[in-house]
Amino acid sequence: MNLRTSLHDKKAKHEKVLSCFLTAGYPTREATVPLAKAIARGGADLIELGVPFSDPLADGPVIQRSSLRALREGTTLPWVLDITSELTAELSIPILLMGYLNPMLAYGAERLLKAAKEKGVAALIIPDLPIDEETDLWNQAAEMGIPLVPFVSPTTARERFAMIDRKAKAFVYAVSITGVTGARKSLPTEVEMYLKELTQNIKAPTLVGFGISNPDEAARMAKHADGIIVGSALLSQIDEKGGIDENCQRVERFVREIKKAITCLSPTGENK
Amino acid sequence: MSVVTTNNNSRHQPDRRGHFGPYGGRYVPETLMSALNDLDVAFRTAWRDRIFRQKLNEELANFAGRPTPLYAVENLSEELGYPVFLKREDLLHTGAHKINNALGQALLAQRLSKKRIVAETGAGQHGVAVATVCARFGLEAVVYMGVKDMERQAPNVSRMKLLGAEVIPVENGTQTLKDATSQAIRDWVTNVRTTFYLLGSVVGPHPYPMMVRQFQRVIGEETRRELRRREINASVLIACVGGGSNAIGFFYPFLQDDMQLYGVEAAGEGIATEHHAATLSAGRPGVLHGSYSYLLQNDDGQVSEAHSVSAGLDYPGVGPEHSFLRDTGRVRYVSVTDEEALQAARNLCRYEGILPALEPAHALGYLRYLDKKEIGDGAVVVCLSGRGDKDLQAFIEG
Repeated sequence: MNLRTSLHDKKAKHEKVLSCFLTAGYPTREATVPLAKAIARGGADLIELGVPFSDPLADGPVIQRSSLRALREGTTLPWVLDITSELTAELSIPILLMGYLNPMLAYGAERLLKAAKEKGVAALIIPDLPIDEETDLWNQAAEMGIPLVPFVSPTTARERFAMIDRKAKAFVYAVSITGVTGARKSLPTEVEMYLKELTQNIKAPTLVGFGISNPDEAARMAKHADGIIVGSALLSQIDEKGGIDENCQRVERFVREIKKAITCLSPTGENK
Repeated sequence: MSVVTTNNNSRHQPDRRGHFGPYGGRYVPETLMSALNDLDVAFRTAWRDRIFRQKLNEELANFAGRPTPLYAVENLSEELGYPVFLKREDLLHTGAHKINNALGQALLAQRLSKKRIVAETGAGQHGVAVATVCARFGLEAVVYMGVKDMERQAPNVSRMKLLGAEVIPVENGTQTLKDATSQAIRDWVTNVRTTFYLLGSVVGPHPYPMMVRQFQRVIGEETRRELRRREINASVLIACVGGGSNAIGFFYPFLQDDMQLYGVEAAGEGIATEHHAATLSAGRPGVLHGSYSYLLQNDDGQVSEAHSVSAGLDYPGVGPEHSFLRDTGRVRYVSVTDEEALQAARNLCRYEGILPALEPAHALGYLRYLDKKEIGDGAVVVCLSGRGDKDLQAFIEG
């Protein structure tokens, strides 16, 4: 089942989706496969493997740090692709790649789409590629069944909603607030209004990310969308000096708590 | 001023979405897209508005001190064997061409009712210009600066603070202009509703490369007018290129003319080493800070660390219009090492009584490589984009 179908399926059943972001190669390359498996055991529905970049413009301190550390560990896009095929062979949940455009261009856009197809990547998330640029890449990716995920943010002009919806072959990544990634204690109340307007105007499944730090906030955001994305808060569970097993246990526990918080909402939480 | 009607492609760049050939564009998070659209509309409207232009021209004349002289350096000319003129942007208020753009964008910020200004700075010249215009117009100034640059350009840090700006040290990554720019953009993404990003060069997402060029083209327009008035036949123009704002402003009105244009990048310790900032000479196209342009990067697409004695040129990217002009061959991009630039600066100081900044010292450093046949019986004009007070330490130590 492709990503879009499975997300629409969940949407129809009002099952909230949990997507977890993990910087590949953080804190070491050896840790990536065990950590991804721990995330899956915790109950995540999707895993976004972060491809590290030297200049992560849309990211806060936690993901910046994890990216630089992963680069020092020797993490490269080809390596992340190999890891993905290892993971897709063992895990039943979709693996997405998330990363900035430049390393992908350096690898070659067409080559990347082919490799992604071959290695079983479900979709690509590129935070510095808006729907307006690289039309060929958007189209080609859609044709090859490796959809690119468009973003929508609280500052997005309403007239862009329809265009973004059309581009969304898998789901729409709804940025909760203006700003960079990173856990916030709580998100402002206007987020709910914005998410309501968004989900009324966009047919594609909508996953909310940026700033979700704990089960309460996860539940609050999930109420107004089809699912949520956690990244920085998850990475913060990892102790760079700690052992792999210990880190895996902490990550699994964290994912389970978040999953539990958003599962309580289904199917009664939503009554549209 | 003459109206150029020649049908040359470079005259019609960028397209509506900010592309200079394949370069430029808007590679930014979705959150910034509407702010960039608003800025584009505001700039285009303001640029056509007679009252806005009049106000800007008054500020440029009375606050910044335009026009700047076109000055013949006689001793240097005699030594080189051909006439050399300097476009004296170093004589502007705050000591560099950066004030031209800062004034323009501050007036735009006012039009957009944005009271908080964020900016990045490398050498501190743009930061000082921003702090100055914010003091002048009663705006809040927040300037991001790498800690390495704060050390080597300490006088400018003090100036910014005295002018009331908040200077935020950037300790990430290279601790220079690249990471200061990333931090400024992150601030802007977070506070986009209340904050105006006053970008200092012809880099970043559309409309910045086009807008900053328009605010800087006064350099070239004055030069052109003055050359005509004094009946000077110039055959070669030289400017330094980091992000490239003084060079574009200087070259732009001459793109249709039969004149050789040289953009001089920083070769640092040598272009064959890993320690340089010669993006157009040694980089490959890629995406950094919102636009597609030449970039110093490794095979994996990770951005390389630039190196230059000049903090203002110490940047691994370059403006997209320069990338376009490189590919079309209209401008020739060359490079000069730290040592050559330092020597050229010392010479200008010792024999002409003018202390240039390290950035335009690179343009001066290229003079001795010029081919006399190319100059013919014409003159060479160098854009002296800033003065060297901030660099005293480097001149004395180096």
